Amino acid sequence: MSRKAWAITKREYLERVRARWFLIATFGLPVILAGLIFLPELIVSRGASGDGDLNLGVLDYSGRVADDLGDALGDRWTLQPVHEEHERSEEELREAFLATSLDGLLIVAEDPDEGGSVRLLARRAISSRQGRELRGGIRDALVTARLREHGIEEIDTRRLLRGADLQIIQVTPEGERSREAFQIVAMLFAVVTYMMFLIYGQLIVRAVLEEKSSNVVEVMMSSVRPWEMMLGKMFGVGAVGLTQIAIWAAIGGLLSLYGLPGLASVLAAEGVDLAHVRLPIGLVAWALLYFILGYLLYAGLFLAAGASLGNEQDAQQVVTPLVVIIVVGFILVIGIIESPESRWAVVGSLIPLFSPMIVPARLAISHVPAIELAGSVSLLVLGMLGSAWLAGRIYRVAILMSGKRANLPEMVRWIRHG
Amino acid sequence: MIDRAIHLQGITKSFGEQTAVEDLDLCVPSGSIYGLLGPNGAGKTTTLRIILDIIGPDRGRVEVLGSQVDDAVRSRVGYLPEERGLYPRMRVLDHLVFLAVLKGMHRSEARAAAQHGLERLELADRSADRVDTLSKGMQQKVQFLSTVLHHPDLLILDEPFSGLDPINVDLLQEIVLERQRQGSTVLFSTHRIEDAERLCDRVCMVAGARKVLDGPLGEIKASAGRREVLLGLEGDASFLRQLPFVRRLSDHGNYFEIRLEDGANPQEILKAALSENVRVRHFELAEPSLREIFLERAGTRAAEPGAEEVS
Repeated sequence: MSRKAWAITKREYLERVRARWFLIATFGLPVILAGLIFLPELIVSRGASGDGDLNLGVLDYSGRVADDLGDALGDRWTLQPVHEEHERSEEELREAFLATSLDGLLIVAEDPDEGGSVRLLARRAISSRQGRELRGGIRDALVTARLREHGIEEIDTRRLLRGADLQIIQVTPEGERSREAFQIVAMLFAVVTYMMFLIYGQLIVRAVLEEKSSNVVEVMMSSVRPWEMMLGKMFGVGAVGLTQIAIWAAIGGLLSLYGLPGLASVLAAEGVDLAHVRLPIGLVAWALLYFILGYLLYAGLFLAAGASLGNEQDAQQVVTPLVVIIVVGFILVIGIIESPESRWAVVGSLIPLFSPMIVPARLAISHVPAIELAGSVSLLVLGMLGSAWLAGRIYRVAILMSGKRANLPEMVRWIRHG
Repeated sequence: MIDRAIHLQGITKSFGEQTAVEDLDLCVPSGSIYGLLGPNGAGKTTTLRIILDIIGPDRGRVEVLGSQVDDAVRSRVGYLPEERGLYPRMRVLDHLVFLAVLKGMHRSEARAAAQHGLERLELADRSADRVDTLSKGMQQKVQFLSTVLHHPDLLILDEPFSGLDPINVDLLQEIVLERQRQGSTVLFSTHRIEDAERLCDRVCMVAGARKVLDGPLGEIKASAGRREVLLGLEGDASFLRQLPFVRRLSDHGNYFEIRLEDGANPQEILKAALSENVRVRHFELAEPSLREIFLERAGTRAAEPGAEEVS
C-alpha cells in the first residue's frame, strides 16, 4: 500500500475512533443486543412470580381426571369439583361460569382417551407457563387413572414419566463440543457479522456522500489517485469495525472469566454451561478471515453505490438492495444453524455474498469438509476482488459528479470504458 | 530548469453534447504568473482539472513540469479548487498536516510549516478547532494555506480571491507573489479581469470553450494599438451616448472608458463635456484595458453588464 493510501487509512480510522459516535456504538450495541436476548426471559421469569393462584372449577364428565389432578398440579391451583346432573349445552355452561367467581372452568369430556377433548373456559389470559402446567397436570392425572385401571397403584407418576437429560456432544478430531453452547457461538458470529456489514456499509456510503457534498474530493483528487482514496476509506473504516469487535471480545472474555450474575443462570437454562465453552483459536481465526473478506466485498459495493449518488435522499434507494441481500444472508444463517448439514448450507457457503455470514456459523456447530472450505474461500476472494475492481471503475468517474444520481446505463458505461 | 511549467496541445473535452474545451493550446512559462480568463462556463475549471489529471481529455497532450502527470508531479503542484472543500469535522492543524502528507511532506515538517502558516494568516489560535466552527472566509484561508504549504513548484488557483475581503485578498496576493519570487509558477483562473490585470505577466482568455487571446500582457495591449479615453465626470453623462465619434462606451457610473472611431480626436470629448456644463475630474489617454480587449474579442459570447456597443 502506498504512503498516501496509508495516510488516508489513518485519517479515516482516527477521525472515527475519536468521534463520540464510536463510544456510543461500541458500548450501546451490546446493551441493545443483550436487551433483545434477555428481556423476554426476564419478562417470563418476573411474570412467573406475578402470576396469581388460579381457582378452577372442574366439571369432569369422565370421572377419571378430577381426583388426581389436584395432586398433579400442586398448591398454586385450587380446584373445586362441579357436578352437573346431565350434560349442559355450551352456552348454558358459559353463562353459569360467568355467574361464578371462578378464574376458570375445566371441562373434561366423557372419554378423554378417545379423542374427547378437555377445554378450559378462562376469565382472563392464562400465561403460557400456567398453560404448560395445566397440560402436564392433566396428562399425569390421566396416566395415573389408566395405571389404576390396569391395577397398578401407589406409584409416583412424575418419576415414572421423567426422561433423561440429553446432552449432544459433537466429537471431531479437534476435540469435542457441546451442541447448545456452540449454537450460541454460531448465532453470535452471525449477528455480529450481520450488524457490522449493515452499519459499516452505511457508514461508508455516508462518508463518500459527505466527501462529495463538502467538495473535499476535488482537493483530494489533486493529490492522490482514486484507488488510493478508495482503499484508504475501505481499510480505515474496516479497522474501526475490527477495533470495535476487539473491544467486545475483550469485554466478553472478562465477563466469562469473572462471571456476570444472571448471565450464567440464563445460559444454564438454555442448557449451556459456560465453563465448557472455550473457543478454539482456529475457529476464531476462520471467523476473522471471513469477516475481513466479507467486509471488503460489501465495502466495495457500498462505496460504488455511495459514489454514484447525488445526495442523502437518493442513498436509501441504491443502498436498499444491498441491505436486502445482507438480511437474506442472515435469514439463511438462522435456518442453517438449525440444520447445519443441509444442502442450503453447502450452496450458501459457496456464494460470496452469503458465505461470510454462513461459513463461520457452520464452522462453529459442525464440521465443514476441507474441500468445501477451500472452494468457499477461493470464491469469496474472487468475489472480493471483483467488487473492488467494479467499485474502482465506478468510483473513479462518479466521485466528481455532483447533483444528479447516475442511472444504470451510465454506470454500465463507466464500468466498461472507465 | 524547465522553461515550460505547463504545456497543453490540442486539448478537447466534452461532457455529453456539451463541449467544455475545444482544441486548446496553452503554454505557461516557468516562473510566470499566468491568468486564465473567461466568463463563467467558459471551460476554465475543466482546463485546470485536465492539467491536474483529475479528468482526462478526450483528445490532446498534457505536460506538466516537464512530464506526464504522475505522483511525483502531483506532489509539486498546489491546487485551490473553485468549489472549496475541507473535511468539516477535522481539526484545522490536523487537516493541514494531512493534506501536506498527501503531498509527500513528512509529518513533523508539515506540522511546523502549518503552524507557521496559521500564524501568518492570524489563525494560530484556531488551530485546534474543528474546521466547521470557522467562518467561510477563515476556511478559505486555511484551504489556501494547504495549497502552498508544501512549497509547490506550480500553483494552480481557481478563482482564488472570490468571497474574501480586501485585506485578506492583499494578504493572499502577497503570499502568491512571494511564491513566485521563490521560483514557483502560478496559474490562476478568474472571471474578474481586474485581478488578472493587476497580477499577471501573461494571460490566456477563453470564451465559449475556445481560446480567444493568449500572450504577455504588454504585447496584448500594444497589439490592440488603439488608445482609449478614460473620463471621470460629475453630472449628467448621457450626452456621451449621442456623440457620433464614440464607437464603444463602458459605463462605470462616474467613470467611463471610451473607444473612439478611428481618426477621431480625443479632444472632442473634452470639448463636448465643457459645453454640457458637467465637471471633468479626470481625463486620460490610455492603452485599452484588458477588459475592453477581452470584450471585443469574446464579442457577444461574453456579454457583460456595464458595457454596450454604441452604433
